[in-house]
Amino acid sequence: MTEALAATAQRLQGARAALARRPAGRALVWAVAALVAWAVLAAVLKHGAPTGIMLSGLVLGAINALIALSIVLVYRANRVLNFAAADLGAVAAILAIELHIKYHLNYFLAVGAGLVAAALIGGLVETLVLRRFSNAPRLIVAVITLGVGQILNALSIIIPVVWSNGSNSGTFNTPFTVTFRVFPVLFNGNYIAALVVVPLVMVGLTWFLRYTNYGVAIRAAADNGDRARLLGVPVKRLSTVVWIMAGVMSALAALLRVPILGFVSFGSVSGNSAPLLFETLTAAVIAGLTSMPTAVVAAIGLGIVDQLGAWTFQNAAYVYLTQLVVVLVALLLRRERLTRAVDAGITTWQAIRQIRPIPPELANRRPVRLASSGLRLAILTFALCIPLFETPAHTQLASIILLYSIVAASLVILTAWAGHISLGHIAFMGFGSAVTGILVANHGLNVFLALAAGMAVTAVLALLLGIPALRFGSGPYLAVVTLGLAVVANGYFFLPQYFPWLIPANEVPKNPLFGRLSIANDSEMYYFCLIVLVLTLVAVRGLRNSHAGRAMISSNDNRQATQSFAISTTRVQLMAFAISGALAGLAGGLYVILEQGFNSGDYAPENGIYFFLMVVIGGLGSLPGAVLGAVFVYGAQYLLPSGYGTLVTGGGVVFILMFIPGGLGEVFFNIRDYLLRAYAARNHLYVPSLVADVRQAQAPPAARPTAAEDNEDEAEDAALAGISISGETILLADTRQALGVGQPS
Amino acid sequence: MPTSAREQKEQINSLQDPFARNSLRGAYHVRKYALLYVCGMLGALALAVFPAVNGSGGSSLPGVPGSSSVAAGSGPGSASSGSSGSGGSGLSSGGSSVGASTGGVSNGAVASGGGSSVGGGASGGGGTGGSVASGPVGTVRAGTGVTRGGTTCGSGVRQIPFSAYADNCVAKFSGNNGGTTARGVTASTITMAVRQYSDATGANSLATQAEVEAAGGVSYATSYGYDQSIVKWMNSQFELYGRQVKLDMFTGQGSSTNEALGQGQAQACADADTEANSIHAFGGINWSGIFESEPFSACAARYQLDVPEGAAYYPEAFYQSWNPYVWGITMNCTLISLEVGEWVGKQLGPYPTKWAASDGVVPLNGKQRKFATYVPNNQGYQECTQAALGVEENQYHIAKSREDEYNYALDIATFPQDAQKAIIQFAANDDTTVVLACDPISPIFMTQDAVQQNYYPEWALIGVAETDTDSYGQLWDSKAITGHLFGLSQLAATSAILNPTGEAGQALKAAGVPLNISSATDYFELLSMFNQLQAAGPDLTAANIAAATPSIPAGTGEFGTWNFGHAHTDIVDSRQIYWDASTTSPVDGKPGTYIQIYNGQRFQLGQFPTSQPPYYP
Repeated sequence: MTEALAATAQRLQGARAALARRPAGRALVWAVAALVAWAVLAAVLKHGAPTGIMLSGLVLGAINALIALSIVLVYRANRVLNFAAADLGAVAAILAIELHIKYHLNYFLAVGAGLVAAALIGGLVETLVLRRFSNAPRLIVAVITLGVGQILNALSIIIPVVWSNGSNSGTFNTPFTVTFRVFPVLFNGNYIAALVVVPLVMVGLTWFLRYTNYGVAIRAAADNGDRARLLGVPVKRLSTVVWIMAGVMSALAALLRVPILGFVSFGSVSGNSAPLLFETLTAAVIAGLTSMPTAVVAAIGLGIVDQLGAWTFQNAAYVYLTQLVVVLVALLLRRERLTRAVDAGITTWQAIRQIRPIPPELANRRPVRLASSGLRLAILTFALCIPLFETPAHTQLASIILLYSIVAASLVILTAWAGHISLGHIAFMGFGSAVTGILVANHGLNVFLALAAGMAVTAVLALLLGIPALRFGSGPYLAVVTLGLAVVANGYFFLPQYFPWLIPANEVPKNPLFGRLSIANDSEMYYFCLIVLVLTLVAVRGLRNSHAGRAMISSNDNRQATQSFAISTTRVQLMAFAISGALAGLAGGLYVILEQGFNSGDYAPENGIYFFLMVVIGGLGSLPGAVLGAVFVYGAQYLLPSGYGTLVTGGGVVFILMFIPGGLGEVFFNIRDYLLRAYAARNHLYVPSLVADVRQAQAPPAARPTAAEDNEDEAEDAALAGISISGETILLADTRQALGVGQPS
Repeated sequence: MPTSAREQKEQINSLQDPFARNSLRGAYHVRKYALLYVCGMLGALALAVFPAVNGSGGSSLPGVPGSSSVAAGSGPGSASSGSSGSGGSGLSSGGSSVGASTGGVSNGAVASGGGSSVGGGASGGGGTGGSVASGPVGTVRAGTGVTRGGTTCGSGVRQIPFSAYADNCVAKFSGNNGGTTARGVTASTITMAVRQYSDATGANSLATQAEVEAAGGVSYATSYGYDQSIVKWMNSQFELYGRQVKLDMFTGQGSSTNEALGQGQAQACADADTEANSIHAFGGINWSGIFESEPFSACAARYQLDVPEGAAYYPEAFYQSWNPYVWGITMNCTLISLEVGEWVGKQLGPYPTKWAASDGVVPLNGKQRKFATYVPNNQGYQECTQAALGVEENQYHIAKSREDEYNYALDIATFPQDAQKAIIQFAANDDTTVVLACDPISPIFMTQDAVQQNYYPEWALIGVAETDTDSYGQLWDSKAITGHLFGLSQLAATSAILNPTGEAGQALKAAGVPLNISSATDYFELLSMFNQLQAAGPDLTAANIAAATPSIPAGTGEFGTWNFGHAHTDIVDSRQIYWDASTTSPVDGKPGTYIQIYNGQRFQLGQFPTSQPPYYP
């Protein structure tokens, strides 16, 4: 009997393994697992898991899947994390909706017009804006997409105001009148449209990518852009096509979502918000930013979690928490590593131009040392004098800029050294604020001890989050997890009714330091923040020069090589994340003392994304660059007259980065290098590291090796592949020449 | 020179002589930690040299001695206000001030009503320690003489004779007013800062402004012009003891969009800092419609700024925590929740559903009412909702099983999603009556979702966040609300305040301002501010405002009944309304308006009838 059972079990296991080896079999296994999970949830949850809720989640998740797909598509084509994915189609969707509501244009014509507009906008964004950044670091381009998203979002708000004077109260519904009820949801034409359109789009997309020349070329470019370029694939043109598709998918998502969820004329249809970004980006990231089917499944899964969470808890706060837990569990359960190609792509994506120190040949020269020290002294003097010539309000805001500079320093450790992105450092800042604030306000703890406690708590929190997110060494998992933390923290942890023991309800007093030194007024607090910032920068610089700092950098530069030195890269990166989180917690602790109160709204997840923008604009390649970013972004908003604030929002960011695509830090260091070069030339000093890149740039084109000479194998591949678009063989002239191939017939 | 720790160690170990080895080790150590030692020494030096401060946590306001605050009406001598028109008014001029006013003279507040003689002087807040005009402070004569507006004062006569809400009249003041009694107060002026948001020309602000104009209002710039004219007129009518309110506008750092969502406190605090430390204002109002946001109100209290129109619809406990600085016209949500509890307990709970249709499957009318409250999940609104539910359960014995709830995130980007989920939930739970304890945007989505779900419950207004205004009602799905939307409103009936012969009509005509919804609303808000400034007496401090406010007489007029009592908000009663989609709104001329029942009668706590209300007669 036992043997028979064992044999049966073995056969079943064998059958399962055999199934799992085939794609269809894998899908079947997953489907069965999903059904089992559903049955368990239906039995366990308070209100069960009704079919209608699951189906509703499926529909809304599928709509989000369109955005997740567009993120994946753009990433694969450009290695760019597209933060404007949801906004790209917003303007076009609003146009379609207005045409339908205001001018009563036929639904299909209106949608058609909207999709054409979306295609145009997608194409224009790529050709007018993004193409200028084809050689810029990918992080810069990601920030460009943030700026583009803000512009499109603003337009989608303004258009109805201009068009309908803000009083447009119509509804935008599909013309389908079929309804059916699956308890507890009544599904009507709007849901059915989504149920029909989304699979059609997915099938169409699959067909396009598999069976059309453009599709094959896009996949080729996505798999290995450099190789595709060598093979003559017009990567730029393909990039335009991809952005057109992204625009259309984004608009389609909006046009499918609005009939189901409703439309308000003065709000954006894109629903541009951290929660939506979290859901779509998470789906894309779970898919490793490469696998479209996985992205779709993940988006649908998250949609179901969203609906089921709301059904169970009837509280948005718990829904966010549930989603974060699901994402963490999904990452913990994730077994496969990224492929080498993808890993390489991600490394490219994260590539940050490191700023070189002053070359050793010059560093010890007296004039260089004097200039360097003089500059530092001038900056410090300027910082010390700010309270003397600024108003108290501006001094207070300048203190906040100093605190954001601490956050910038923390992000240098995490992103520039350890190679990970955090979109949720605002949450660490918030936890630091909460812990410091409650200890000072409610328990009368010494300020320094409270700050230390805040740092300790945020460091531990970072460790806990980092364990699932940093297991794979690289990849944007941490970005998603931290964004999720920011969403949950703001919507749950920072609400006093849920955590009265964590959130200070009373005023946080500015107790004197050591019981003697007052920090009560704006100037005193400013100097306190300045001292802490200077100490932080010294400490971070010390960390950079330490064994731990070098290990962090090497774990990012070459993981395998680092591991070969018996260094656990995961542990090193966890340490970087913990230190980074602790510094953000320190900034938060100081913030709550400065503001004398905890306001959960200050820790909105959107602000965390702003931190990302701040450090990238400044330049993550160096500590001063990142700090410069904080000073620039928040200084423009806080200290300059009100109009200048637009410099660092939407159009301003795009405009600035168009002229200085490497960020502000790069400008600063280019000037430094120029001066050093001039000094070296005047003193007849030969400094190879200073002139090498100049010589490289000045080298005549003929001296450069051809693509074919670079890699004969690639050239042969090109000749063999003969990829053709629109009937024209598009091998590179260089390649053809190298191979002695004549003009294509 | 070795740079890495390993190289240094190797070099140290390479030395044979222990002294040389230790010296080199010491040298490296000093080089590595020199900065730390220097900082430590500087810190120690600072500790030794800098003057010590006491450990109480100083005020962040230069020139404001102490930071003591006074609970509203808590001091001896605070008066309970008399009912409208009752008795004469008394005055105490410094007779019973309490506490040591470190900021100048504590002269007692002007009190009125019932002939009681009260002193409202209190210590501290808002004082500046500035100069005090020499000589004794002049006497305030309330209820007698002739006002500076030329009205003969008498028992029950208001400072503005046709006003139902103005403070009791005070004879024209002459003599010494105490000079600089508080920051922003001089012998001749009371500076009130006017804060313009930094994003006043941004996309969201333009959208909001378009909404205001579509609802019959005017642009913020025009509205501010009205405010200046109204203030000028009120300066000539109210007794400010030789002072005039001076508006000082500035463009701040705060963002209207952020602050509306409870964010941007850093910029809001910087604006409060500007008002306090750069403009040196006594208090502040907002350029975009006078009332201020919650983040700013919290900061203003820390900077000891008087905010006559602070964050609206917050619990009284919040105002208490900001005491004595933040006030408002609109009813605080603590009182709203108590009235809602009574209304539901008496007029809805005991009766079967009458104005619903179906939940998509079964008819809802005639069933025992089951309530579903849609409320943001932030602390203030949650507190109030729980208070209302407590009243319903404990006082009126409405079973917990008849109370459903959905807590949504106060994030405009997620309003659609939360609305959809809530409606599905409410329909599935057979909730008959959806209580709108929410912002006015969410019902746009909720009503659209309800129609999609074929769910037609009763929609019960509680009056918060302008959900009871025509302009928002017109944005909600007409099919969902026609015949189903009713409830409480604490605001005035628009037709009443737009009546040219009404109080606002007369006052605005006198001020030379056209009558519209913006100017009328601004009038009442500024009236409340001037009432407090007059009531505080010549010794104008925030503490004296708090002490005197309970003595401002209650009044009933076109804006309901105002009676601060010991609370921080004026309005204390609600009218009952229902939505009529077929009637044109008197506000904006568009179809759809709220109709009031009981002939516009308003109900205070404890006064609600016990019969089912006659909505949709």
